[in-house]
Amino acid sequence: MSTRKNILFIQRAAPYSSAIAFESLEAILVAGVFDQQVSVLFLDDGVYQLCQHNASILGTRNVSKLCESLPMYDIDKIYVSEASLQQRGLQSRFLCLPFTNISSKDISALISSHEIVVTS
Amino acid sequence: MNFAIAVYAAPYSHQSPDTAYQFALAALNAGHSITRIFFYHSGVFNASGLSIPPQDEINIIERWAQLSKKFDVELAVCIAAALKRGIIDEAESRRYELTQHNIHPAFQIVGLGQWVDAMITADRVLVFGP
Repeated sequence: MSTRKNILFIQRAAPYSSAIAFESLEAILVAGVFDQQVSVLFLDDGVYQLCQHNASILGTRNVSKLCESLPMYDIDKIYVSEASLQQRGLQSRFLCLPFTNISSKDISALISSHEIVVTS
Repeated sequence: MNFAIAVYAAPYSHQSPDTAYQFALAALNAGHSITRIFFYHSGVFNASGLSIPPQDEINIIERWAQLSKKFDVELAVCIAAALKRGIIDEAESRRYELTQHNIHPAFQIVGLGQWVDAMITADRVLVFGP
């Protein structure tokens, strides 16, 4: 698998309302393992994936812990929608990873700068 | 053009496997090719060999199988997503010392790396979400 592409994953789902947040994060990590140039944008309710959770009471695996492992797979281009944070009353210090704030008007440029965009 | 397609939703619950099928069929009929159709998340239920729809409904699983046969398209199911939802082939069933297996023979169980491989080798990537 020598091809290297730049892939943008857009995470839009709340962390525990379905398994989609967790499973798409697993796919993102695998893209990292296969040495792809990966960026991740957390948008809409997806920003909750980065909030630190106590998932043990749910008996499920911890989504924010999985997010925290992104840099270990050389995935460090993490973008978070500024508007999504504001709409939910969230502050940067609540989030578990270093990230780049991105305004709504810059999101289209981010998307068009990637060869592959996968939204979930 | 060469497409990679992922299906993230279960049949008979969501529209998206139907839309994915219609897209795949139209693309193949128009002379395009599809590297692989990858079933992930609840999409793994598209591979159940035990689905029996009522007579007045479409057999979604059989329809995938026919598409695969006619156009020689690989139907790949994510192993992690499938096994935890109880979609399993004979080899995995033996490995976990189970007595049954239920995957439709047109589908094969693969790793998530096969989705990444399909993505980076295709001209276009389409995800039909939940």
